[in-house]
Amino acid sequence: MASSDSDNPSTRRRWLAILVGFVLLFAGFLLYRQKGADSAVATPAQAPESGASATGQPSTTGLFGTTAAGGPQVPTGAGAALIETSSGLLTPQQVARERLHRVEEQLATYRKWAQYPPDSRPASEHGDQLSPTAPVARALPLSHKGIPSQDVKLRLTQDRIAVVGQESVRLQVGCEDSLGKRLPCEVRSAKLSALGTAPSAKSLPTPAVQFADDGRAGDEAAGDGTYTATVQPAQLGFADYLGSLRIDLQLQAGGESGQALFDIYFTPHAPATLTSRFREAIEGGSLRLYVGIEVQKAGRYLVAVRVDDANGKSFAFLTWNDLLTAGPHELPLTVFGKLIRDGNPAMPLRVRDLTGYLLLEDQDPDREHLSTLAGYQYTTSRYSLSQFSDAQWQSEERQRHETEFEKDVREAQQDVPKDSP
Amino acid sequence: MNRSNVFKRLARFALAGSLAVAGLLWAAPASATNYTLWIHGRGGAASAAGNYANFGYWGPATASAGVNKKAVNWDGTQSIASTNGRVRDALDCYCTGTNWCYIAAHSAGDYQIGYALSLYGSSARSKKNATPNSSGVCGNTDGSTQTGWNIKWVAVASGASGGSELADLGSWASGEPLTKDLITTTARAKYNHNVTQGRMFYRFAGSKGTLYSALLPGQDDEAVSYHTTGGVSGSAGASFGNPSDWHSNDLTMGTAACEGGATKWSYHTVQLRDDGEVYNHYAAGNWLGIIAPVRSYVVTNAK
Repeated sequence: MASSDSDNPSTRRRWLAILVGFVLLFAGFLLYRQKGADSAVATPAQAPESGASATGQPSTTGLFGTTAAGGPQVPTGAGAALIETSSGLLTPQQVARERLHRVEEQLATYRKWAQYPPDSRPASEHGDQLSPTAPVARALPLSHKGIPSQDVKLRLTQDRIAVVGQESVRLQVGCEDSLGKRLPCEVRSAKLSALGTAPSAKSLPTPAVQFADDGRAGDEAAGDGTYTATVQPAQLGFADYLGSLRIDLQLQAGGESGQALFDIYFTPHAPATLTSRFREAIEGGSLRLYVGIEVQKAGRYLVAVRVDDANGKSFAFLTWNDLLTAGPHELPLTVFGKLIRDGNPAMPLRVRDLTGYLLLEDQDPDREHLSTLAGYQYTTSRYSLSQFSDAQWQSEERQRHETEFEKDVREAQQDVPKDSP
Repeated sequence: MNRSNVFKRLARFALAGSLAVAGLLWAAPASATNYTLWIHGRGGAASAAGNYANFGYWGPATASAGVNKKAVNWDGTQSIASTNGRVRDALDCYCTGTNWCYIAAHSAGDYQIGYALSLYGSSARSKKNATPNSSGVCGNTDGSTQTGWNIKWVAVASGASGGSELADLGSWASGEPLTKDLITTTARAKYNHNVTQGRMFYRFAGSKGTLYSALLPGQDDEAVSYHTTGGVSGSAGASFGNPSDWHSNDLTMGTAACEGGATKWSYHTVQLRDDGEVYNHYAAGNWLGIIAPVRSYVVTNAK
């Protein structure tokens, strides 16, 4: 009788070799993946010398409070392996507690933020965004080819960064000595030029800009030492240019000469118009404000709206960040119910200073500004607090983050020794 | 069934099982993996853009730098707007689906992550498989999307998102598009720095600066002043220093307003103030300067 291959001892040995080979291959594969993960969490001791940190005396914020002069005191128990951290040398137990502190802080910070939705925030959270029409001022030393003066300081002020269509920007220059005493200074020349890198930008004109201290054309007082210029890009050869413009100045003050610059961002044609049409409704326990907009160019729009209480106190900062098609729209902006319940603003609410732009993704220039609707634009009805919900914001995004951050806390707790204080 | 047949079937079963499991492990994205993304600043090489293994800007790639470290490279001479897609590609790759990220950034890398979170942090992102192609773009997992990225926190070494007077005064190459973005008024108007989607920015501010002290107000690290590295909001130009500096207001630790009342951007906290003036701005090819304590922080906390 003919025997089958499987009955043959050599065949059995071959199958055994194949089986062992694949088991070893699979085990090796698993080890390889594990090693890859381990190598990325190697101990700090594997890192090169960090130089400055060995002698540094920074103040750091950590579990051990704000520390200085070399970081926290480190226990010197026999055999304690110390680990270099940004807070100094710590024991593994201290590192575990520091990490627990961090992940607890991470969870608490997120939960506090996530009480309200991302597009309906307390005004106090956006302090530098509440006065978009306020002048922007800088103080700099007069510098000549990058070398600063020791004695002459410049005060540079511009009433806006973004200029749209036929708008103009007012620029002011004042000079001081090292003690803050006003110095007479002179703008000897100034010119406007495009900063764009496109070839078309290089063919644009570089018109002269006239600064004067004569009390006219925007200058507040003649002879007060503050030189003023009013620049209207659309009338100076930039009617179709989108992007940054620079005003380069040549100055003289206190017997020294030097340079300074202002940058502005010019949008020749606004891509949309905020219409000043508003309506309001209570929806889902929140106050919904509908803001009219006529969109000429479709895309992602970012719009910001400030809301004050009846006494003029800043209360809320509302935003829109989403896609819009061409045509008329109403932007649904939310004054979140819990925000009203927590803030208890004096009613009615007043809506002011609407700003925005079309975001041009992955391009430079990256935006086309809308003309700002400056000042108060709308007043809501009066409401009582009981008309609004005090429920926190809920979303998949919030749930996802809280679940992960809670897991981090649990894992960090497991790393802290049970008898650790 | 004789013994040899049983043995043969067992071998076939083991073979098939091994191949099936190995295939699944290779094909499916690693589940619930944490990554550490390092976003560099001005001067990063354009040739490295999209290569997540190239740590040339920072130092030896063998250094510990957080769990599953990845280098987010972009052309460090070009504008933020035109290069931010590289950063968003990395965030999509490693910080969506079941994967989570820790972010470390240096200098203009602070500008990059701040711009991404503020302008795109609430947008719909396709869930990716953490397997990049040669351009640094990852494939989709199941075609679904999520709102924003899975980011735990951001650690910032001498962040420059508020600009630097060295750009204002022409000390940096004015022909570089990035220099234009680093003008202080431009940087502070580029995006709303308070919008971090609830993630904390831990700011490390160095002060070992001498060369440009006459140009940079208050304490500086030779490239950026405390007003920016410390995340102070409002106009640039104010002087902030260490407690021992009698001629300027203190940059306070944490989120508290500075001495004199100037406030910080929301969700930005000063984690390290360089009272000993020992950290300058530069990695020096070896994770040095202000990057050293940030790397230590990341190694401790990015698990």
